[in-house]
Amino acid sequence: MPPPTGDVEIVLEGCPPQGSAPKISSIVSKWARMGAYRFIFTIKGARFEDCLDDLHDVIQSFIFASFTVREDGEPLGLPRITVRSANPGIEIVEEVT
Amino acid sequence: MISVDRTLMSTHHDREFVGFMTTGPPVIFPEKIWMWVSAPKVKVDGEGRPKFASYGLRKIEVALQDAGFKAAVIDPDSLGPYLKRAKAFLVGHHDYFAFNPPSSEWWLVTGKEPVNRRRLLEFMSRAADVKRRWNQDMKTVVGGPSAWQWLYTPNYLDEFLVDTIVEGEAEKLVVRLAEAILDGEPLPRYVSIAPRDSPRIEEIPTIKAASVNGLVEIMRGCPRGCKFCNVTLRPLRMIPLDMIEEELRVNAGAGIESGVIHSEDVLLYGADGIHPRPEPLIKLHRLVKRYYKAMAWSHASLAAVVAAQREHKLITRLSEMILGENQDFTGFQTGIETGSPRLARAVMPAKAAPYPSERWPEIVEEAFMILHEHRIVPAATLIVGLPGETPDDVMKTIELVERLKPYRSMVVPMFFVPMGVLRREDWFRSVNLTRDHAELMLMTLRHSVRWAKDIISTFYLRGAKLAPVRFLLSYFLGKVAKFADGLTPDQILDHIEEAKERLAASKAKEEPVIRPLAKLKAVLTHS
Repeated sequence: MPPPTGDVEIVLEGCPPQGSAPKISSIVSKWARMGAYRFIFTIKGARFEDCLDDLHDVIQSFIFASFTVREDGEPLGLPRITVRSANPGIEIVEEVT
Repeated sequence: MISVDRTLMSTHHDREFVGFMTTGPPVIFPEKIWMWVSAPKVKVDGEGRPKFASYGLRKIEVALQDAGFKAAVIDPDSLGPYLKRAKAFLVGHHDYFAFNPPSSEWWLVTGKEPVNRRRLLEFMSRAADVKRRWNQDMKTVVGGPSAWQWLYTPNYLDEFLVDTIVEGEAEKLVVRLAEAILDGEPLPRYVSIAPRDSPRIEEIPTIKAASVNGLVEIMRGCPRGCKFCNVTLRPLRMIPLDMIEEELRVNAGAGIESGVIHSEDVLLYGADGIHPRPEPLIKLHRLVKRYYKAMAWSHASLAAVVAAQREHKLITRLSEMILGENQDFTGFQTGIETGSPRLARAVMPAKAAPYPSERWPEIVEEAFMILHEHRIVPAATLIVGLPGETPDDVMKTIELVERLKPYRSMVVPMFFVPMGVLRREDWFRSVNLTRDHAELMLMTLRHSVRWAKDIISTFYLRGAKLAPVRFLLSYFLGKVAKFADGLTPDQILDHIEEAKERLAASKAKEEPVIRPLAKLKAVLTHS
């Protein structure tokens, strides 16, 4: 189901685990194919600097899109993708509100 | 408060190319003299506002002023009183940490930290110290074409208390950020602006105070689609003549008589696709010459030079407009990148357009010949180590540079460094040069030194006022020429390996962030 606007929120519950950039990128690609082009990352419980190892690969890979990264903050009421650590790897939950 | 370190807050003696010296470490001369030659101080008013500032900073300044904010570009030597009470400290730079060419080349070749990086670290360190002690609420926002480099140096985000990184054309976004700062809202840590959110022509403000070396933008974006360049992704926008004239008037009003028109490909202003058209270019040049006695293009493509001349004799017509009583040469930056048609087709398929990539070496040579005949000097780059490059590609580039010998020009090789490795402290180890690369470097060094001596003595730094700069640069080039004369490709390779070891050793020590406590105390005392 396509998002209602070009904006999507991606909630990171902590820094993405090492090596998760390809998975997050594939989710960004999927939503971009549905028309999204502004991706707003909300990092919960971690600092931007500490998440850059994997995050920078994502935000520098999609040159057609805009990325905003914030630390914490209220939900934005946008279609939301939640990324959290799981054993093994990461769990990704997609919600279209 | 908008600012940047001295290497960019300078008119470089009104000679844009002299500014490139700031991308290298001081060699032969001590740093003080190196800085005086490459980036002398600029005049400031009683409030510390520089008479001339980088065009990008001027755009941000006017965007904020037009939105009703009290914003100004401030000279780096006048920051003291402002840092203690400013709400926001905005910095714009085109090579924060010297990761871009040519800084990264000089760093690697000499094994010494380039002066632009040293000065930036010192500048940011000084601002962060004041913020830490007296103005912790001040927000520090970094932007400009090299904002991406902060993502590769997260330690400096911490060290310099950077709140937000902004990537992309920021004229609209900076107003929203300023509103958020004044309203006390939390700032995003990072924002990149998608090409489709780039400002439209009517959203781009015109500068209200003079730019360094009279630079005025005539176009944004580029249609050529080279794979190593992100400008090509931005929408193509021609700045209308009336907006260009407003900015020319501002610069001329500040006493500027010689200026640069900026575009990724000046000859495509008003073009029909990639075919240059006489009418818009002639109108543009006529307009610029009404305000400036002398002018230069920032960038143009070599294919456009050939197309303009073959289709309309346009290089002849434009050079007749540019050159005359007040100007006897002009120049611009351009990209050769490779002499290999195979590699050209792979990484820059439209660079030769409207001609096929198979003809790229001939296009380059023809363009150089046209430019030489019209006293236009190209400063051209080559990219060494592009992905997929073969020894045969390097040989073809060597053959091309050999054929360019008779034409007045500068040719500078740049190392391709994959962005991924820049996060590693030993990024320089990823540059692995072959003997053929070293031979190419030696050829370009000899070519460029030979023509630089000619350009400096014949055109570039004439007149009594510039005699000391001319003397120092000629001395420097003489030393470099002597060094290059006896050099062999094997010695270059040995030299670079030694430089890598020196770099590795310096990285093992503390990061070379300079904390000039004495200077800081002086600034604070005066404030």
